[in-house]
Amino acid sequence: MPPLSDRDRSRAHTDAELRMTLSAELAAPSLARERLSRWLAGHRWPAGQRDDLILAVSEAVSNSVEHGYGVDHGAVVERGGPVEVHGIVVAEPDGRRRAVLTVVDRGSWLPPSAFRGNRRHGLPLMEACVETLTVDGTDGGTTVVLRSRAVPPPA
Amino acid sequence: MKVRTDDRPDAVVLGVDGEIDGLTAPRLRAAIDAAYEQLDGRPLVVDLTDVTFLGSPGLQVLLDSAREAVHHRGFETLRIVVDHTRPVVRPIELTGLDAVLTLFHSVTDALDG
Repeated sequence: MPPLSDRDRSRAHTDAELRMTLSAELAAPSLARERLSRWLAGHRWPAGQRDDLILAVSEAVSNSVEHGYGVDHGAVVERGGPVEVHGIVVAEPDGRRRAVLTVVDRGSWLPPSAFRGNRRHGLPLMEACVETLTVDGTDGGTTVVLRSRAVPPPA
Repeated sequence: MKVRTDDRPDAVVLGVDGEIDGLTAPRLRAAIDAAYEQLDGRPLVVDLTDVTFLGSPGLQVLLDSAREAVHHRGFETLRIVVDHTRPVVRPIELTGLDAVLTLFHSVTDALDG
């Protein structure tokens, strides 16, 4: 059997779905970016779109950690909990693809009007980076669904 | 993220390397605050050309620092250097901060003012 090329190996190791559970800490967005970057690369996602999705998911995870769970610099993590990130690729009838990325926390929700500092830029950034953004906040936590713009089939 | 301070005769240049997010942004803020103390009339240049990720906490530090320079310290504003690195330029443009921050394409341009 011929040896696998880097490309084959990367494809062979790319899971159809992305699934990770992060603990609510300030390093969580960085971990999410790294895993998502590898997953999108494995799916041959175009570089520009990849950057946008990485930014959007990083902001969503950051919101969950700092906002949902109230983790801040120097603060003791009392209310920390999981941040779950899930990603799938869906095919359009014409063969183009979209990534649907979901970020879920079980923290507390505050409306965007209560966003201070960083949060002012976080939501507009997420909105600009995807085709549709839905934020569903309840007493039990927040679910953010990011649906990407359509990209061509893998070359 | 790493910040390297270059104390030059004509300016203080902070060279930032790596990812600026909620974890690292306070360190950038601290480096900028420390640089303010040594300016002595020189401009402060923040070189972002080696930055690989810029999230909203980083944008907020740049915005707050630029405002503080002008409004609280009476300095000229920050001179921020960005090249065409998409993960850096894109968030600045998407939030409209390219109209607010003072941007240059190279440290040489920034030093020329």
